[in-house]
Amino acid sequence: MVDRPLDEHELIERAKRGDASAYEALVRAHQGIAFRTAFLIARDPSDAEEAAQDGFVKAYRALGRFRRGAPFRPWLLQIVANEARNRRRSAGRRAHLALRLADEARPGDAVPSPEAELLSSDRRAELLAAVEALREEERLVVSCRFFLGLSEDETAQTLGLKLGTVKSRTSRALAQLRQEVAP
Amino acid sequence: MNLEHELRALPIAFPDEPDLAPRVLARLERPARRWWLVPALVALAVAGALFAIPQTRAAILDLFRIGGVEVRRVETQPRAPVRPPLLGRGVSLATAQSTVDFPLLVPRDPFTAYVDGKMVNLRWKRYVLSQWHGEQLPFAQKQVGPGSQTAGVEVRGVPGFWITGARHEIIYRDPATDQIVAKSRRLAGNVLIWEDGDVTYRLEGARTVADARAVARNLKAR
Repeated sequence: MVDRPLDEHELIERAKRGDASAYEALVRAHQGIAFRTAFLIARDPSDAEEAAQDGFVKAYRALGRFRRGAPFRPWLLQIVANEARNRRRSAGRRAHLALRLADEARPGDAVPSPEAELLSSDRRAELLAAVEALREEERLVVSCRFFLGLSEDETAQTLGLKLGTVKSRTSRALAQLRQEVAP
Repeated sequence: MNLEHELRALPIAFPDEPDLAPRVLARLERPARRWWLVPALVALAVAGALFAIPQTRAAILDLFRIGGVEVRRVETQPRAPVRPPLLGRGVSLATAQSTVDFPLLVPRDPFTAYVDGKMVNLRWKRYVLSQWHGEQLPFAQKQVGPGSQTAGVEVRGVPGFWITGARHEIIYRDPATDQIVAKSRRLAGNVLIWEDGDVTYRLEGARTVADARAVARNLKAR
């Protein structure tokens, strides 16, 4: 990760000068997190895909305003998140997908005993249900921080919040989750 | 495992991630300048050369050359989008120094170094100092519109020019490829230009000539 910012800044400078292949590299590097961010907000795969795609196009056109040396990822995610929010709003009463747990263990996970697996999957389902029951504003902060692995600063920029708001929403959410799920 | 770790470990089932790159790229406005800007700039340079022949000289109110920069006063302001200067690749001072064959002038304040071809750009506070071997960029042009004024001033004991007023445009020829390239295109506000030996220095960002000269005076050679 240490050498990524340098490479990325170089790519951004090239993209600013109209180098489409440099921008393609940026899209490929960030499309996964952009799509997942959009999905967490829009809760619909095709809305999320459109939001991420539009976000990348808008970000390209706004590159001239991108401050040199600033972190690119949260700047991009903020644009994508706005697109996703707009879509969610226009989706109106349409039901939103609930988050689901993946069925199989992720690669690299230790293989648990069947008993532990059963317990832990119950526990996981309980935890996810508790997250889904949070208020939207807290759920989004928790999702960005823990499901997307964004830092507090990145979460703040992505969601257009102050850092202090991210911190307070995170601690409120964690306190509520501790009450909801058995220790 | 504490709660935060548990949350991080939740295997959320996200839908399969689409490959957005081809569709995004298809929607980008083609970087048109890559094919039209170079000929357009070459045409501009040719027009500049035409101005220099006697029949058209009347069109030029003023023309002088200093180091690698040619200052032309033309009757219409060049049209170009106002955008921050493209400074090149961010590098260490040592790397910047290694790309030129003369000792760089550096400010006493902390700065960031950039390299753009054979040109070194240092940025600090609101200033950008560009320095290059004048011979290496013999076709650099500065076009100054009617709203601009140029004044001869003394800078660090050598003659220089202070250019103020309307924004003006500089076009550089890239010495490596001998082509006029888009990345070298910039607009600047007030600029102080001077030449020392065959090195040209260009300082932008100063608000007054006194400020510019003071900043120039305080530069030190590495």
